Amino acid sequence: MRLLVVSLVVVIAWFAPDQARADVRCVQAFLAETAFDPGPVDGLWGRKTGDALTSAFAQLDREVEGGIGRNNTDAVCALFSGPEGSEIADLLALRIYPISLDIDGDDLLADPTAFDFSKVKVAEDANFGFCSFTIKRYLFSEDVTDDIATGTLSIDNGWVSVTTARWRTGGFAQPEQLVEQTNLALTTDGKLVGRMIYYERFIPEGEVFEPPIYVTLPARHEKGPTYPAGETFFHANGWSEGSIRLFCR
Amino acid sequence: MDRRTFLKLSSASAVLAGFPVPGLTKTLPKGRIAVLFLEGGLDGLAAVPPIGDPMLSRMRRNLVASKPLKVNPFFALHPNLKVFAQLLGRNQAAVFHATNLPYTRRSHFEGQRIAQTGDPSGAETMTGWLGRAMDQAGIAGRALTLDTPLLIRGTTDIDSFYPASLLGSQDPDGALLALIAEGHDGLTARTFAKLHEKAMASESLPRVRDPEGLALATGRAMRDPEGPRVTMIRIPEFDTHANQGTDIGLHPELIGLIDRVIARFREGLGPVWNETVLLTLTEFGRTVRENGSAGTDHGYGSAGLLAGGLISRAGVITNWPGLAEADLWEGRDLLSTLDYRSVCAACIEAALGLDHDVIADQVFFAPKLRRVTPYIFG
Repeated sequence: MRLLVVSLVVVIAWFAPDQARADVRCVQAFLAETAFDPGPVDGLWGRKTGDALTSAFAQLDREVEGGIGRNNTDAVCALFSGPEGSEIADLLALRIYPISLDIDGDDLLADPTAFDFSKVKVAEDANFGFCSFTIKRYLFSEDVTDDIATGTLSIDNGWVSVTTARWRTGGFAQPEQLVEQTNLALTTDGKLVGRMIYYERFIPEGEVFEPPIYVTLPARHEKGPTYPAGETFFHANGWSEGSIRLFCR
Repeated sequence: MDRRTFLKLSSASAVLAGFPVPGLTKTLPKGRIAVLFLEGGLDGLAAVPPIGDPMLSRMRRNLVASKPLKVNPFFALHPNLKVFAQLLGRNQAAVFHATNLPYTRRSHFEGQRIAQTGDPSGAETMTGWLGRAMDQAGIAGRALTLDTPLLIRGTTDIDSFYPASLLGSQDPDGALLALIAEGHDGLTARTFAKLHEKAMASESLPRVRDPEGLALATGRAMRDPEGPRVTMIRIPEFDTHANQGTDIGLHPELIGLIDRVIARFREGLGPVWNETVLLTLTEFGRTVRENGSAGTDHGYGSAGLLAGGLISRAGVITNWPGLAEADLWEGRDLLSTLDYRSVCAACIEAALGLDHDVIADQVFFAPKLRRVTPYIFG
């Protein structure tokens, strides 16, 4: 009898760590088939196994009663070997490295015609049902002026709406672009202020088409008033500048 | 070489497909899908360097950008992917890394063919995976180029109309174009009417080869409710065996071009961006080590960039194989641990609303293809 008790104690003493090791091995073997590297599948709990398990459960966004520490590997093993095992394996086949970005600089995804009108005094009493306009280009290198686009617009409580447009540049320029991508207002001192789409080049037949650029009005060297008829200048690029000429009735 | 010269020399192209056709298209899928085909083999380790892998600097001394955009402790982006980085920050982009189609023989011709057919068995498949997806979704694949790219070739008969003038066909069939225009409504009619007009008006049609402009025009066309659901934009020249470049040079310039194409496409789509997913496709990655002429050779695993408002969870997603000698495919290439067709299938599922099992079975002939949709969509 005494011998039996002693043997039992010995068996339990052997069995317990053996079982724990088997549980760790079970967890490691499961993880090794996923994108979470537990290190060697040796039944020994180490930092790599712990880290892999922590990241895996973070991705799964779920918890195990008793936690996922080294003392609860039997519960984790049971989960992995249970009916949910294959679904969990699918969700861990790839590892999601989440994005933690510090973006400084300009917001490149912003609306290209977005403009802060908070410091602008919009001429709220200005209402013109019909104005014609011409967008002009002035080259710096020679005394040449070109018409880039023409069209009509209305001014409602100081806000500009382009109604029709015709580009002369060819390429990708389309009338509705000027209708949709003009964000301008008339200020109390008679200037056009805001952002709008602009094509800087003429595209001859067979040439490579050029995407548009976006310009801010007015340019800093703005001189005379535009209201009710006049010209507002804008910077375009290193070799030219542009303007809008307005004629309102 | 300045940008304009570079673009004039490039032979990028775009194709629009999947126009709703009266009588043939039943219920329209809401989404849009765009494939950016990077010909020549994108260097995934240059575009999305695994800066947290200690072997990166040992295996590649010169080909990692000096100031990468760190997106998390393990991965970074090439600094020319600025717009893409901001999209990641807004949960409108994702990267799958160490992935490619199961193709390891490193031939451009064969690789590009398999990237388009989606059938690595080597069979003479005459249709493309996106074309078969359109067949399954019930939208007619009709292309606006001279020769319909393999990728979007489906089995629908209507595919045999190739009006073909946007990209410089010398002999467009004016009568056929007029006939098609008459038989349709909406954008389809307008598009073919315009093509007819151009075919009649001018012998030498403008060659639209600027990928940024193409992306803008493509986005605008797809914005129309009656517009095409599918596009493929090709950017060639990724095959940089010599003088690949790190911060500046051809490969970095092309990576920047991917970024600008995505930006222009988004701009053209406007609000429809929210219903769109764009994914890159390339025939293979490039060797991990730099070669003797400051370039890289044909490899295996690469990275896939995805962007669009349909994406709901950003991240770099991979079963990272490691860059140590023993981890490389045949001792030289980044291992592909994910069949990229799974990523294509996820995009089809999200944009065209097909079941994964149907896509796996009917589109990719791979019934056991892994489903990765939950990693980034909904």
